[in-house]
Amino acid sequence: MSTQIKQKDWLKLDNAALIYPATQSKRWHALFRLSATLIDTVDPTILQQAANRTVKRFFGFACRLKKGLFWFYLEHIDHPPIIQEDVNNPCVKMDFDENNGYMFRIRYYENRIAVEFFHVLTDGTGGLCFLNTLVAEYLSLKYGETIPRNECILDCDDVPKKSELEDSFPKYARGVLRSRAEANSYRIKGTLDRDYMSVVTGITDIERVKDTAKKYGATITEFLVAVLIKAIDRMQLEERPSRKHHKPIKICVPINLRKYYPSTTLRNFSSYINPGIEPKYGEYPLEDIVRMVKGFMLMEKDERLLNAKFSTNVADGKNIPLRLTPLFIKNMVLRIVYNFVGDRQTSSTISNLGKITLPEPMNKYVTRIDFMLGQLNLNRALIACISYKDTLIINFTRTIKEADVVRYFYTELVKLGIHVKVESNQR
Amino acid sequence: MSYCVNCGVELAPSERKCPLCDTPVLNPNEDKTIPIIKPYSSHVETVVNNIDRKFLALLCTLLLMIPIFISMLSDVLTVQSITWSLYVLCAGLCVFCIFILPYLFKKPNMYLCIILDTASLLLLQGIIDIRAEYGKFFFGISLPITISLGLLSMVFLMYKNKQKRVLKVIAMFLFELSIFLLVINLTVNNYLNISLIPQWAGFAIVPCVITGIFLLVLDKRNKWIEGIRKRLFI
Repeated sequence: MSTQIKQKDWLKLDNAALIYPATQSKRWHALFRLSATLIDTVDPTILQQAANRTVKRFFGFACRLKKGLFWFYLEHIDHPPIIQEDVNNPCVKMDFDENNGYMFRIRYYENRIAVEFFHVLTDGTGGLCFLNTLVAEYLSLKYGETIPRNECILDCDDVPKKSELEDSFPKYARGVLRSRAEANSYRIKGTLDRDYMSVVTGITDIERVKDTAKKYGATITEFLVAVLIKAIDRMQLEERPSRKHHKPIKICVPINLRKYYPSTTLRNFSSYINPGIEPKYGEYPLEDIVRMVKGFMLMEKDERLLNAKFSTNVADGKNIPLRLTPLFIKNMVLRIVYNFVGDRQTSSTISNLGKITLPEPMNKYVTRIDFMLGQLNLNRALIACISYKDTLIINFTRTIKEADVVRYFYTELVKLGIHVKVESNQR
Repeated sequence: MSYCVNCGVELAPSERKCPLCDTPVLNPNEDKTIPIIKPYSSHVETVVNNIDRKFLALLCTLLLMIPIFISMLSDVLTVQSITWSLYVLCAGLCVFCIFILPYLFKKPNMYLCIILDTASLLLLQGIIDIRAEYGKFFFGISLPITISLGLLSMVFLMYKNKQKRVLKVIAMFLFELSIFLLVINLTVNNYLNISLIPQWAGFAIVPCVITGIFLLVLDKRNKWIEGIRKRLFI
């Protein structure tokens, strides 16, 4: 069986991507951003050449979104992407027409190369692979470096593989389903600044964070989730002093399903869990929050439960009446349903892409890697983390003017003895 | 290096105030010789917020179907046939063609829209004429006036798409308005079997034509245009 794909093909959207085109709006752009900071100023000409080569390798990324009668689909694009200068406010809503049809954009500023992706294309893991490959190509062209390639940095002389375009959700789904119903969570409120996403980057020492998390018997993700819950709890308490009426505080934590299944897809293949607390029962000190988050994640990160969760989505996608419904009705219904359900179940999101290791020829040119989440429909403040070398970068993005939750989060880290250096895009 | 005295975080050299609490940065020992590179460009990207017109148009279509469906249902339930509800249906179709149809497409073909508008208006008037048995009203009055309106609209649209000069476009509009008024006058006169010499239309046609000619002359005099613009700008 051929593992390579024909050119000029079209692709169906993967199961997780189905919701994004229908529900994309002024408030929810479904974007995320990855960037790499280099030792030298970026040369846009070389970056364009690197982009042209990289896009040929990532067949599933060189696509435009098209409407069919029943579903959206992806149509391959032949022309190259346009390199753009970076802006002050990242993850602004993407106009696909202005972007030459592409659903990602490559931007540069000073020493930094950034790529912003529409979630229809891929998730954080796939996006990171794209960024690594792009940077590797750039460094090869600029400095003549020979960079060893692997599953995280693809060889652009190779042809795209079928397994990279696979929709892994139906492949690994089993018949057992699980209800997605959960109680609604407390939502962080503030003055909406819809077209401007504020970013506060916290730069910390990863060993210090790891040691502090270890003291609580938790991983870095569990620890940061707990700190964020505490920060949001403080906000809710200030808003409403009586805990009796407090809503649950839950944080959405994406889970990379590639750790559970032998999938090499570059498209979406992740699930999520929502650990949290019920503040109406009383005050939770940090150690108790960590304990609850750790217990919840231990239980929910079980392969069987994760499988049941995404199997439900797959089953919905196979539903015959739903499949036969014309797209314009599906879109309207999905949008209405999402406005009522959507991200009401969580107060915020923490996405941690983990520790990134690059081959030595790249290490000497790359000083920093950042990961950022674009705005969601109702969750106004989000965290994305990534570690590279001995630094943990925490990007706290928000679409409200008030920075209270951000302040509570970082000052909590400082109180725990973690040194935090902050920078922002404030005007 | 600077720290926020309120939050305890270290502040990057690019921060003039703490991004967490807005406390200004005052560091007398700061080395001002080192150039500061801001972490982000100063260019703020603005988003043109397009209203989702297509979604709105679809919603309006669904809402429009409610009175049509209800009237047809009540018609059928009361007299077991479609009678007066046909007017509602045709009127609904007119509303759809004129107000909603152009928004369903990203780049609507305006010529096709005008043809459909004219056809829907003719259908409505035709149905009224047939059911009310007015006699020659449709062929005598409705048809010539509606078709001339459609044709003149298409001619105007063609001219407007080719012509960049605003004064010429306005002049064309006035000339076409004159023609349309003339057509109405002559059609009504013909229907009433009176003299084909236009009467009341002349009172409107003369000023329209004179104004149109004036605008065409003015269009060729850039100095006059600048003078008027200078004196009348808001």
